[in-house]
Amino acid sequence: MRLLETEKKLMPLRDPNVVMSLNRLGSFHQCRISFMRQLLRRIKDERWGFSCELWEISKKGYGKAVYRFETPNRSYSLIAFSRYLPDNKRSDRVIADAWDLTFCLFDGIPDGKDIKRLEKNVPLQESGRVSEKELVLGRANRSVRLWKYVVKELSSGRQPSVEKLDSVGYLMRTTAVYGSGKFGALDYSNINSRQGMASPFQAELLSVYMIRQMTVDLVNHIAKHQGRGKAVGLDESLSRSLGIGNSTGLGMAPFLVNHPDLLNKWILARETAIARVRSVFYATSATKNDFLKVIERCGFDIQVWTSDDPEQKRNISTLNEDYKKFSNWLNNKILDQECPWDKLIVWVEKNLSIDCQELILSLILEPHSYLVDDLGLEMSFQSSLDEIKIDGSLNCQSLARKIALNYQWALSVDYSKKEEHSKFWYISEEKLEPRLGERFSEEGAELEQPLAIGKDIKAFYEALIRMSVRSSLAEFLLSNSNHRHTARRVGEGNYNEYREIQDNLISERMRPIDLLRCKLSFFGATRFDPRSDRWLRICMYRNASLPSEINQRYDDYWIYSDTTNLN
Amino acid sequence: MYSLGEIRALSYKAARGGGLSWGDAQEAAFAAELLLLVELPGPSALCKFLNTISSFKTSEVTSLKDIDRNNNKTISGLTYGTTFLDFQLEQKRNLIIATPRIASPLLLLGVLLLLLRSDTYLEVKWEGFEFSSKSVAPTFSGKQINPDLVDCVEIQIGEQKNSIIETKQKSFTIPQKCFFHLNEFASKTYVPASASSRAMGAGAGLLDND
Repeated sequence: MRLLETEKKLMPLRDPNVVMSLNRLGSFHQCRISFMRQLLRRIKDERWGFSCELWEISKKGYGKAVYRFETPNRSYSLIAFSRYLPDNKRSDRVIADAWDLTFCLFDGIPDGKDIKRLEKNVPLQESGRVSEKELVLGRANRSVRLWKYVVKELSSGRQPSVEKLDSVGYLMRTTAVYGSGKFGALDYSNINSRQGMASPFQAELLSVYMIRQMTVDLVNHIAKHQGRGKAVGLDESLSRSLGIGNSTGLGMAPFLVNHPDLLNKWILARETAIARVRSVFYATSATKNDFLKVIERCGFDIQVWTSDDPEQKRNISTLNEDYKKFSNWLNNKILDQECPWDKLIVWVEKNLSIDCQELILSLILEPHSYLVDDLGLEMSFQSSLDEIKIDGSLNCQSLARKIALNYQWALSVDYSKKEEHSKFWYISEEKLEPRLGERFSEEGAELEQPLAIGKDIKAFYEALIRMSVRSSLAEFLLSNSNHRHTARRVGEGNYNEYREIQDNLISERMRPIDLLRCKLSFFGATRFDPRSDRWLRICMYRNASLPSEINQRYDDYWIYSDTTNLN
Repeated sequence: MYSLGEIRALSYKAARGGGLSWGDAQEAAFAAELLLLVELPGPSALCKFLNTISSFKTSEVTSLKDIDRNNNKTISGLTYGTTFLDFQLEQKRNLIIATPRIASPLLLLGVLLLLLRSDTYLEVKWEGFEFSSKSVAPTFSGKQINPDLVDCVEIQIGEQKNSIIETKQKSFTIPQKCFFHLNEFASKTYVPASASSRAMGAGAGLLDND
């Protein structure tokens, strides 16, 4: 590893007690090992071929289309259905039952029968069924703020305003993208050893990337027919500036809690990347130059990041101030000193908000592809039979001691206080989705889901310490099966890891959007725009080359606006 | 046809809805899934177990003595299996371990399938059924695949290099009746909508049509 040219020991990873607080996780930003970034690098490196195989779309924009990516070993086809949707039926919420665009990712090349089968099922989404030939099922809605405006401008022969496009950032938003076995689709375990699909959520993100191409093609198509000769196509750079929006709510929130080993892999990869960069002894001129470029480009993005949410507005404003403070400080030749990245982070941790700290930590990874990119391959997790099995031979008292040592964040909370257990997670009968209830004003707490990890660990600990000195966990579980799920969770982990969100997930203060933001940052999402404490909008692939041009035009720092023409 | 992920999720919820603790529900879901991987009807075994859970008056296990063959008790296959693994009885290599009466023995086999690593073989027998992972791929024979109750199950575990669960099957069928029953059990874990829950749901009350 070139890191070792510095002959310096790897810096220690950050303490899980610091990293895993919900507040910090909810301040994460994308970085170069985020899943979208990994996917586009692979597409470019392996020169995947892209084509539109079918375009049966009416003048008004309704019909079906098939796009295909050819990887060195396989084909993946996006099959999309565009339907008329009255404005009053357009909703991002899971309770919606119709959408502007529905799509699936087909594993290979579909024949006519496949397309007919999917045409009957995909537009129905949860009410339909897909098969093991499909990897992903999803849907998207047009942006009311932009779609008609862009069609109108293009059909009149004008380009839409940059400011207006920037203020929204996308023409369509996905409202759900289901993968890994959902609604009959192929399980992730069947593709996780494939080249190109081993990292998490690659199939889902590939679908979204392809849908982005379709939104541009669709808006151009409708404008062309509406404009009757006057129309122009959306300018290439404007097309590139548009991403795909996404609305995400509580349905996604428990994912990180339910997959502690996967969460550990994600965080561990990012923390290792940070430690590797902090260990670098000197910065080369190339890395310095690249870093300064990225700082400038990211600074522009922060300035144009908007939200209607009052708290997020304040956060963005603080981030802007801190970022300026950082940019000014950066001029003092810190990068010319020994151990520049470590010194930089020490300053950042002392002087800036958590949000800005996490942003800068992501940014220092950017010019270090040679140190960082291989970690992307270590971000998936497949449980083995051994890991599922509880080790009943553990001694109760020694397990209790380990808990006392490693789970202070859970033990230190007084869960009997009303404010510490005022919420409960449940599954809604109406939409079979996770929801968050108010324990003291809503019904259903008796059907609480086991997501109060801290509370359960404390209860487990208190039961363990009542056992005799020689008792084993197996003996304990004979009469304490209510603690079995916690015994599995606590028993299986190495304690010095990033498996647990170290916060009380049922407290009055808990904000589910922090869980969402953490997960979405690993996807590579930007422009977090909370709409309440329970759901938010984001943007994906903004500024990325379109699938149709990625082999001709690729910028490794695509996720940051290209400010070259702005100066 | 259903994906393994769907079946796992449904089994877990159904087991919980059927009255098991969250941890036991996890065990039941693993068992149902592992049985499917060796081409045995895991979801049906779970379904039968949940439907008959109250009919056999199965005994609780409070000590290892309770799972002794000479004990005149009826133990659920799930409880026997988890106790067996928790106490690591698999370390009694090459011995034939005989159980007391077992309700839903197929779930017992499902739980023990967790032992199928590359260095372990498993043989499980009851009247009218035999399972073995001694050969390259696990095999079974007999018609009594998923009985309600058996007088005794014989378990033998030993060392061997080639026992591992692998399947090329990517989707699985569940009998419609079983799917219906599991869904019924699963629905007992859902909270019905109320005016306040609708008001508090993600995105509720906001203009989300941008």
